[in-house]
Amino acid sequence: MKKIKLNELLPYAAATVVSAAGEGLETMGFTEGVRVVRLYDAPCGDPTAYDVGGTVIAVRGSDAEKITVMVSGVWA
Amino acid sequence: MGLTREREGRRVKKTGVYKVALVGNPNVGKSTLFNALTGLSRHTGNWTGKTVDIGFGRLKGAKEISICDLPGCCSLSALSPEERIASEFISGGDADVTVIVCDASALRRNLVLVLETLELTENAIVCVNLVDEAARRGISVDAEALSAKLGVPVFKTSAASGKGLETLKNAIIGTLTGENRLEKGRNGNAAPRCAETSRERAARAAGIAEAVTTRDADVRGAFMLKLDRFLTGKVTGRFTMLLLLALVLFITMVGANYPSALLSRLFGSGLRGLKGLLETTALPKPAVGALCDGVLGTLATVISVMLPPVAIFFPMFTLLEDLGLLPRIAFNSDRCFARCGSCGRQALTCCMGFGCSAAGVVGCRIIASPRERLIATVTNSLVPCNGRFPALIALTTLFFANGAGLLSGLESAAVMTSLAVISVAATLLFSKLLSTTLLRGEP
Repeated sequence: MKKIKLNELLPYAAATVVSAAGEGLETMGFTEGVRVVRLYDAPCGDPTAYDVGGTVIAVRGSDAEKITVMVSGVWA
Repeated sequence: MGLTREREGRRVKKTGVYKVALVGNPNVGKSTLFNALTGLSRHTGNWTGKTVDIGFGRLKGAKEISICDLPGCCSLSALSPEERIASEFISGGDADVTVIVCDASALRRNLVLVLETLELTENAIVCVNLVDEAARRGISVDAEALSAKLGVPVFKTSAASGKGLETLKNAIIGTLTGENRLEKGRNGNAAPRCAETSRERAARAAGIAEAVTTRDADVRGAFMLKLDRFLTGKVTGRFTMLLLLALVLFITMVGANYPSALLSRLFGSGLRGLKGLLETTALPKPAVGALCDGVLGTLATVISVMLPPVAIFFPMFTLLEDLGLLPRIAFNSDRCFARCGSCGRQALTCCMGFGCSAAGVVGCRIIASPRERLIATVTNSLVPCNGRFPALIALTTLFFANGAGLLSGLESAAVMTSLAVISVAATLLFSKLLSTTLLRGEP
């Protein structure tokens, strides 16, 4: 188990949200214990789409930095 | 606002009008449900944040019940304008019954708002919408179990196909007239009255969602992911966006030619007939000329040139909207707009601007930051709207299309697409200019 920032997650890797420090991020679904999967990046590399508890949400890199997630494998 | 008004119990209004509020997360089909319940045609679209104000209508078959369509929100913490509207409406006791609309395939997220709403009002009905869509993704929700956990009635609907709407309608009427009242307060699992932290609430929502949802293998999800990957790919995403723009413009231009010619012939012969008729009367000749050749002639020309492109472009744009393409466009272009001090949502208002500048400017309400909203509003006019298309099309055909038939159509579509791309570039340029000069440092 290792804590990393959401933007450090590798593509298609899954993680569990530990905390979200940014305004409005929790109401978007980034609450403790939610499973997130990093999906794909926009053509310019930012924002990135994440599967957050069954809903696909686009998050800018600057916001993803504020979200701490827990990974169980050897990612990041 | 009626913040001071008593909240407990149902009040029978003096006017005899009941108010039913529809709340829910963005893009769960509230407006579609609203249209199905009222028989009205509020604009719907498959993207988040489309509805930003309150829509009113009367329940079909029960005119004393008024339905209010609130903007979609993820919580009632009043961070954004739409959340403030929704939370004030519910906590102010303006609604006699609140129908909380959920997406059956994203119950975990949606239940957070359900729990929050249940803290504010007891007269609520939960409507699990989009069940057909969820079933296609292998997700099913146990309505009875959910009802037992929440302590309020739960109904499953599919607003687009009309499934379950009759039951929901009867439940709304039943709750208003007090038939369902006995069920309330009987349940031990009802929401706690004390304030919960958002974390506790989210954990509780997750637990409930887990308990009432069953999932099979998600075949369709895998396909959608592949499609999304294609639409947002580095090369394919940009190429598809450009190609779609060109296709829409091509169909508009080529398709508009025929009805335009037809209308112009029709109006022409009608006017000639009218003129001949009027000349036989005692009216002075200059007056007849001014009326027929001047007023009516111009009107006929404007209608025959403007109406066909508008009538073709708007349905096509609606189709793209319902296919869910707009969020992908916003996703693809967010970086470009972010570099120019704006956000991807401006891409949406830009797209709407191609249809109608007025719609585009009004659409700027979906942008939360005042600075970004102002930029989007001011620069919207740089995108040529449908009304300006005919002029552009005429000029394009005059200068660039030398061939005949389909080839000239393709050629003009290419030129028109370049014009559209230039206008988007101008929008970006002026957005950058505004955000670094006049609007520098604004929030």
